[in-house]
Amino acid sequence: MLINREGGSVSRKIAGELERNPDLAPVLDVFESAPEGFEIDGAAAGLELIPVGSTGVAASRCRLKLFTPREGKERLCAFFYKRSNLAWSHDRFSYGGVEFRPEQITEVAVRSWHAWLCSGFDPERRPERLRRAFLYDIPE
Amino acid sequence: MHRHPLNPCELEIDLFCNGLRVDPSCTILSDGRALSRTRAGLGSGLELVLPGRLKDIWVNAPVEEDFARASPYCLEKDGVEYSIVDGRCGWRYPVHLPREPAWYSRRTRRGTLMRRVGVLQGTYLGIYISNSCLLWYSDPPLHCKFCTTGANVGVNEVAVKALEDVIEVCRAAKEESGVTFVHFNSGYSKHSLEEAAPYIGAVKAEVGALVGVQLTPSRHLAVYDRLIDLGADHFSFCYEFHSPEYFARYLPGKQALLGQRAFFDALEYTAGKLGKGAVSGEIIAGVEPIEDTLRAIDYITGVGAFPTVCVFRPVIGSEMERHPPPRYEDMRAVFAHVFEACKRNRIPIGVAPNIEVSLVCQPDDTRYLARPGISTWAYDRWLELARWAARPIFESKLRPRNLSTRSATLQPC
Repeated sequence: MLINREGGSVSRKIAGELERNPDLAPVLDVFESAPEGFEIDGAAAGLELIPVGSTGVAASRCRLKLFTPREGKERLCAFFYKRSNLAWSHDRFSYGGVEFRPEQITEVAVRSWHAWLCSGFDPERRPERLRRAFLYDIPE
Repeated sequence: MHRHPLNPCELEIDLFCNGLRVDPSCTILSDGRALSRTRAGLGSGLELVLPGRLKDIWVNAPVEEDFARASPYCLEKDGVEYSIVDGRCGWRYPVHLPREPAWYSRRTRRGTLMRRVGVLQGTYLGIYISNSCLLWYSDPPLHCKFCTTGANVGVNEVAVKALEDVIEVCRAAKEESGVTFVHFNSGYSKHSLEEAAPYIGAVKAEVGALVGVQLTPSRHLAVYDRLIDLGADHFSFCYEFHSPEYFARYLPGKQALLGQRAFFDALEYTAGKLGKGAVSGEIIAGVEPIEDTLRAIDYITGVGAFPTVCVFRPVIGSEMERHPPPRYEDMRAVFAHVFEACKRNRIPIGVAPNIEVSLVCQPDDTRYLARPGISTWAYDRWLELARWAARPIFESKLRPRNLSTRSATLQPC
């Protein structure tokens, strides 16, 4: 479930992102219907999902960021990374991402992203079509 | 939990095994070296110096890996002093944070940020000639399971290092940081030794430094003669696991394209050419059975090389991220064996000036683990003599050579 979906700033953030990319709604629906808890980072670029509570230690540093790599283009990216252990560090440790066009989103694929995020990026559970390197900047 | 406070080498080993938490009181950004995540491998930790009676020990303590969050060790700052506190018993170990060199944030004449060209890992300058490794780009990938080269965002954007940039950074590191040793390495490439030649020649001719080369081995052993002629002082060969089974399982690319024997052949050949203590066999401890690691140490020292033993670190994003880090007791036994094997084979350790490697427990660090006795005393005296005898040789090697090696090239074999 999305724990802070109804919060003022987060609610506005979600509305704004869905207005830009309405095709992300089914992605949020999968996380909303999941038994685990997730928060949306209101300050991060794109839609950034943070596992909280029952997902366990392995997943606690993991993040999924949904964003548009290139303005004006349809293509979206689901970027997976870990936060630094150090409070003063903004380092991000990339685990790669899945690029997709809106019509390519399937519930099966999103469930695999959800499962990988909750597993703490278990190497045995990588989603399909995962790319390890990109030629564009990942916004913070 | 330990029964007594650890000596600096024991603490180094335990930090490699358990990692380190960083207390909010620490101000690393202003007091120490920033973490380097350009290649999130062994060098991804926090650089520290553990002062000691026999020698100070440099350690790159894991701080980012998940296991470090549960470490009993915590780095704290009190006033301007730093110490590591063992939360299990309250023992406090004073440590120093090495300063970040001023040249890190300068740019070369070509405009490249100097830290993007090379970084200090301890007191030596490490330069990745190219951080792309062909093993990451095969289908299916053949990269080593413990490695993360190639996994970082934008990794395939980074080009081969420009010779001019390398020279400029080497010169700054020597003049401002007292660097004596430049270490070149690269991922798997068909002609990596040939690609390294111009860098070796130029550093020897224009900077004057000891030069080490760590690349995948060539079956054409004559290529090493040419690199030695150009000035290479050291070669290291990362064969990682002595057990052929573990070698094949965790290093699929090296197994398929090179084979373990190629590493042994190159190690033995170059050790024979450069003499005792100039060449290294690099292995990972904590994954294969300890007996195999001890056999590796005996083999490496037996051919006149020194063992570079990396304590396995399950680095973030690697295939082996979930593999547990090794036990301190096992690693202590491994490093005690390193000293005994070097002593038995009369390997000159700690002889070259000012080479402290933070990523591993160096053979001369293991002096802290030596069994007292006449043989240790005799080895100490022999090492003192070796240091004295080698001093003029190293002084000569640290002067730029009068060679026209700018155009040093090797034809691909």
